[in-house]
Amino acid sequence: MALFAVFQTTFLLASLSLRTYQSEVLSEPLPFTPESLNVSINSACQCLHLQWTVHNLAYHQELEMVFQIQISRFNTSNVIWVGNYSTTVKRKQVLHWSWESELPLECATHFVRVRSVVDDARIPEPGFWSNWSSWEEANAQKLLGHDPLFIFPKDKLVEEGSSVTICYVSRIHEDNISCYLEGVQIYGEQLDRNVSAFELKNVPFIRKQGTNFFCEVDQGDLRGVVLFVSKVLEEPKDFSCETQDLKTLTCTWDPRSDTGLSEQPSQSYTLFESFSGKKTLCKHSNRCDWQVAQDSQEMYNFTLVAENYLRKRSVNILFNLTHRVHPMTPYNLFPKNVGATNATITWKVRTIGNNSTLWCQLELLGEGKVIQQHNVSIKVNGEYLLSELKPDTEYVARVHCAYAKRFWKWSELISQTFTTTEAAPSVGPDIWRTVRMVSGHPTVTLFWKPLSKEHANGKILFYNVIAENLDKPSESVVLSIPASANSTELTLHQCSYQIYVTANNSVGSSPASRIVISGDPGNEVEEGRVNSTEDGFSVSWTPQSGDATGYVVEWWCDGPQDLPCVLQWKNLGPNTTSTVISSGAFRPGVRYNFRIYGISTKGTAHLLEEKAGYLEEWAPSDNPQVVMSNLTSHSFVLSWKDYSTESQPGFIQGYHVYLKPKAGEQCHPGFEKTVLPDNSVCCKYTIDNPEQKTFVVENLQPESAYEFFVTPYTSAGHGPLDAFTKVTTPDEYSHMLIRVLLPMTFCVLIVLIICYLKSPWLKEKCYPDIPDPYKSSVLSLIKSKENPHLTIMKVNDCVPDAIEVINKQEGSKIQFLGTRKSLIEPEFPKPAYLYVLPTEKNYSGPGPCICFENFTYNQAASDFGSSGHFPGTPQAPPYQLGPLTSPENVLKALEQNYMDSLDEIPAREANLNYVSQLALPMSGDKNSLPANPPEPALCSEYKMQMAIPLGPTSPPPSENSSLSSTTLLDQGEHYH
Amino acid sequence: MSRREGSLEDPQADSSISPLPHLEAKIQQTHSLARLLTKYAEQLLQEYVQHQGDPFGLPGFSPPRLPVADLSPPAPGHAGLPVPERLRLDAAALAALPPLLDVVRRLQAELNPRALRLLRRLEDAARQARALGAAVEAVLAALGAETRAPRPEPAAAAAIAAATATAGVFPAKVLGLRVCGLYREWVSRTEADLGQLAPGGPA
Repeated sequence: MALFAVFQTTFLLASLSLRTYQSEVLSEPLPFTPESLNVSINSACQCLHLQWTVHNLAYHQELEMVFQIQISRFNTSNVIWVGNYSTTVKRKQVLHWSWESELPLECATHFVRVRSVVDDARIPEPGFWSNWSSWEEANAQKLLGHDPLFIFPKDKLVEEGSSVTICYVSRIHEDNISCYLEGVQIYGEQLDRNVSAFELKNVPFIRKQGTNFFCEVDQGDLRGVVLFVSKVLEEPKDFSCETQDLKTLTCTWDPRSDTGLSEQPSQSYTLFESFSGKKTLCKHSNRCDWQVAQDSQEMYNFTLVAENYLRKRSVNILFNLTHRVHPMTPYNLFPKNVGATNATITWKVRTIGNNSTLWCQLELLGEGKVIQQHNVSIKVNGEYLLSELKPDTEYVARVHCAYAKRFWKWSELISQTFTTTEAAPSVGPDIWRTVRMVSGHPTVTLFWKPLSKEHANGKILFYNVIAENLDKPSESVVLSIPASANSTELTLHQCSYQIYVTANNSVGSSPASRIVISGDPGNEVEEGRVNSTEDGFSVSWTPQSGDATGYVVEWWCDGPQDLPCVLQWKNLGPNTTSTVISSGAFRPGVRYNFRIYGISTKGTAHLLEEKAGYLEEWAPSDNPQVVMSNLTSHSFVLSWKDYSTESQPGFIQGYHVYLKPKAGEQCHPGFEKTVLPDNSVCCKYTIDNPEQKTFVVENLQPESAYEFFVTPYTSAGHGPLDAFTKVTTPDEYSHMLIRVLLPMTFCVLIVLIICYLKSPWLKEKCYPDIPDPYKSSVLSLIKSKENPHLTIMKVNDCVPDAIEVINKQEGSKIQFLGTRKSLIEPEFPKPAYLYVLPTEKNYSGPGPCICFENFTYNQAASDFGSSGHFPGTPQAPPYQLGPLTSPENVLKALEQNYMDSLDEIPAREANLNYVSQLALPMSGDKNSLPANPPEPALCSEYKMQMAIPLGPTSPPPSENSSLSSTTLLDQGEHYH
Repeated sequence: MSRREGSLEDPQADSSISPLPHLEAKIQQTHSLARLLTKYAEQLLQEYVQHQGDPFGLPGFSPPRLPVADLSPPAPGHAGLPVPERLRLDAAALAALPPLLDVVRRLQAELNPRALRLLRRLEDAARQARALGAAVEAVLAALGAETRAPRPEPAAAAAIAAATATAGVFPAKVLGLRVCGLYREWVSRTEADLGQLAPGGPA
């Protein structure tokens, strides 16, 4: 064999040397020149497919050769690619080689030639390149039709991110062609007279339907291609195989991106097992089932191959079958024999193989957390007793199992919920009390906190309260309080009591909680302050002297009414002297009061300290209602006694009194100048005593306007700046004026009162009553001293002796009824007297002498006579008014009266009106007295002029009784 | 076909309940169907361009309105023709459209296999075009006019399908756009032509 090899090598060397020599010397073609070169085009892959042969190889001769390939585009001189291809060449072998063009082959003519060289180790001498083969042309354009435009490649499939060259071959002028990628015009490179190319780099995936590229010819014809850009096929992720029953393997993976397109289906997955040499095409894109061989194959080497048109990806996994057992989910998980503190859990599993053991984990969850964990090895049935459970508590038991031989994965969990039964409450309720006196009896409000779920051991149904009178043991109180209540009120005697409280559920009652109420009234302590911290209130106290068994800190809020506030307390040990009271219910700006009690050995509580504090002090939310008083010209007093400092959102430290003085006035002593938020300047006085709730503003100017405003302040600031109240100081002398006016007013008032009281006397003195002639003293005097026949003059006895006639100016008219207009003319007519009887001057005979005591007479008659008209009303009967509505009637009436007097009509039966000469012609018209007043008659102070009868008793005058008076009165003349 | 889509499978069935004379009822029904299909054709076109990507959905994109299998858009002088002649042209076009719509549906089934609504619309459009064409022919027959509608040649459509498949996906998209556009134009044209005969329309 070795001899043969040496011989062959020798032969080759000899042969090569000979051929080289021949080619150099004889200029003949070198041996092994590629021959029969054929070039074809594969448009689908844009490939040039080359095939050639190498002649002159000896029979069974094999040589390692290198072929150099040259490719030109458009013309042979435009070499665009040169490359070598190495292979082993046999005699008469047709060699194949392909070249993929980035430019679609339809757009350009390509030329290919090949040459070779022997590159065989058996030939130590360096080889010589053979001659080039002749150029072979690959021209796809010949196959194109006569369309004006062709675009290539057609519907090419590429991967996202790759580069693609699109070209077109036009039969028309290039300028008339516009090309667009997804509607956006792009510009290419002109490769030839009628060929242009567009290099698209890093092409993106746009849609499964492909990316549209088209060219428009003269905005008329349209040609285009679709570039199908696929997502890059990725390697499957999380490839894993497992079995649930040692019979079927299930392999799963994450397929990642789907590379499916219209032109390409989604990637396919193939599972290949190398030991068995079997493979299966997976039906799903993320899962594949594999039947375990019956020959107890334990090792498996799987290769998962993902494949699409463009790429393949594979992942591999090697494993032992028993190491990949993932048991099925247990089933029939039930609790049984559930008690207050224990329960038995049972479950089942499906067998794996023959007589295999499963390792199960039982977990107990309470309130979502794993509180117990137990491992159990089972074949088929599992059971476990859970203990140390809490009564009346809901638990979740869950189980999962793994293959005991080799742990791979837990099975899926199965869970079941159960609740333990109730038990009697384990501790008594935490109790506290408040004591207040109501009607002389101590009233205890007993509070307790609901038992925690941990201690209640079930639903609390009621609380039992037993109050034992320590002084009189026979007087005890037993109460049963519903569970919904957390307090009760007991009215006790002034004795010491021992109170027991128990909580009860359906199973039993809790241990009793005890508290002792002392019969002694509690002591009072001064209130201190407590500071707040980030955690709450830090309360500290002086420990009780003696043996305190503990302390209790109670607190409540003293805030707005809408703030829910209940008594809270905290029990502390005997050695504790401070604590931090923290609560989420604490709010800033709310006053909290703390009381620290010491608990004696007898169980009684004694108040040690009382403190108040704020979690955070706020500025006062409102200002006091300020009352101003004692206003003088120089001062006034402000008071706000109703302002409560307790219910404020902070400790009131004092008050600010703001005063706006009048313009130009400086701040008073004690005030300081300050600028308000509205930039106004005023004076501020600070009262640093919160209990001082009055303030005297002094040193004011009289008759000056001031404005004041009072606001409290805390450590957080002052109250809101409300409106100022205006006040004006009075005049400085106004008080003196008051000193004068008041006595004067008093005196006047006294005089008026005296006048009122003495009004009869004054009336008597100033305005005496009209005397009644019949009651006159004169009458008695006359009767007694003189003629007993003398009597009071009767009007009827009087004989008119004259008629007063008044001349009235022309045009004046008499108005009587229906009007109250004065009939008095501005110029009163001169009166004239017609003596109808002999007067004193012409009267010769004796006659009665008539006397009047004064000038007064019947007022009605006076008015009637003086005004010249009747004061009649429209309601007056006509017969009363009618006779006097004309002068004639008056005269008739006079005549009638005269005639009546002659007939001696009793005076008391007649109503008389007297018209006196001295009587004013009209009331109030003093200036119009008659120019010729009648002379007074002898023996009389007043002279009777006439008497005018009034009333219905006066008979109507007859027409014959008119006498001559009608002739004496002219028309238009008035009478009185 | 549901009545909502304007079924004319039994035009005589409604004549008994219609107060209109038979011819008017037929014209009225056919006109209503054409009006309904005009709306559907517009929806089909919108649905189609949505699945082809840009530039098909762009407003300015308008491929040349070249004939497809000798089916041209309505000529500019179409409105000037006598109504029976117009209806004959309408009927002929509507008869030529179903195979073309089927070709488009098959092409789209390859290109957009998951565009089920588009495929269903294309299928419905072919059936509806056929129904409308038959209804127009019935109107022509009722008018006493000769139909003379050339029967569509399935071979022509098949040839188109084959040629388009060879030409590539982009020409197939363009073909679908043209066919959908022709469908919309001819249905709309038919609606307008029937409107000339319908009661209330111009005589």
